[in-house]
Amino acid sequence: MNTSIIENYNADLADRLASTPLHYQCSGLSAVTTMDNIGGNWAYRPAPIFTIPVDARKLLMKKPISVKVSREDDLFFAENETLRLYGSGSTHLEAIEDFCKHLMYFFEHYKNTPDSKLMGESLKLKELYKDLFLEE
Amino acid sequence: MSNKTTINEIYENAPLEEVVFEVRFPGEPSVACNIDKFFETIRIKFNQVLVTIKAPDQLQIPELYRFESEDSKQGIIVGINKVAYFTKKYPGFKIFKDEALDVIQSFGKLFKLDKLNRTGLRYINIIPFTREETILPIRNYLNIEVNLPLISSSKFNSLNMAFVSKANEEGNITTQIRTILSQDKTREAILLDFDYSKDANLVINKVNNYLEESHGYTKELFENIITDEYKKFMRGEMV
Repeated sequence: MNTSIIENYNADLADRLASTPLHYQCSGLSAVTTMDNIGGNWAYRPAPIFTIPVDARKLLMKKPISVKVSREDDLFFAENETLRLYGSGSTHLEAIEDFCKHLMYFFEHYKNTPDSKLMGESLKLKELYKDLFLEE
Repeated sequence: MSNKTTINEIYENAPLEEVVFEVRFPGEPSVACNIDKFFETIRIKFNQVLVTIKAPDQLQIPELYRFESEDSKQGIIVGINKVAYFTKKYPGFKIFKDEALDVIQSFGKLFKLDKLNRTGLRYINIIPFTREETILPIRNYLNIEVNLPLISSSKFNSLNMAFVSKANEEGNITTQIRTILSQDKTREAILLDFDYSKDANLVINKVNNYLEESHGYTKELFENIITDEYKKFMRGEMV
């Protein structure tokens, strides 16, 4: 999804809030301003994923997955170190979508791979992936 | 209000960005003339002096000064009709209360304040979120429901709402919930901002009680408005 679409949503909202029909005026609360100089550090905090879309369904996570998104030049990277999982894209959203695709790939991979064919870290990861979803 | 138990928790991943306690009083010009005396009482901790510049069309009485700590994480805002203490690294209510009351009472004593017009305790939270396709999955984060014919909060793309409501017999709550974009336009978040205020029969020597009451209400509101799912993330119960 293009971020310009998100900007359009916000621009539409701002436009509605700013305009009042002729011969009327805003009553009571029309805008609430926050402290002007809240920093931008929140943009670097991970955001949780609660569901993964698969075909027409949504799979619910047992626990939220924390996804940290970083940017290098024109590429975005979404990562979760615990799952050893990464996704990339030209936008933040594409990186998250890529991450989710990889998540499902490895979920299926570990589900279909017997323990006898795995060792060390892979076995630990299989346990992690096995326990991700509330229901399939 | 919900019947859920109030929980006193410190969260590992709390979305809290800023807390402000503000006191407003009848305009007092002596504040403008004697601000240096107040600065002397706070200079050690708040030695950064900033002057607020307002746009010409803003009718509010301008704030005179903003005094900040060296790291800009805490500060005091002063005007001829207000004084406020804010922090961006909330240390828990007990310490915040001690720090805020220290400032307010010191200011009140210096300028001989008595009656107050308003007290307000404001919590500003920023909750980064991930869209689900184009939808803002608001109900993953907040227990709010908006249902209009053919329109539901489960299908929102964007949100901007602000309202003032009676909180209880004693106060009002000003709430703002909206989606915001980071400066580089790559990240989105939900801004959750509420301000419990009182504006009737207030006196400076009861400001401790007002702050306690404000905190009690806003804490319970916060605990009830955040979903159990997002609380897991806040507690660090995540993958």
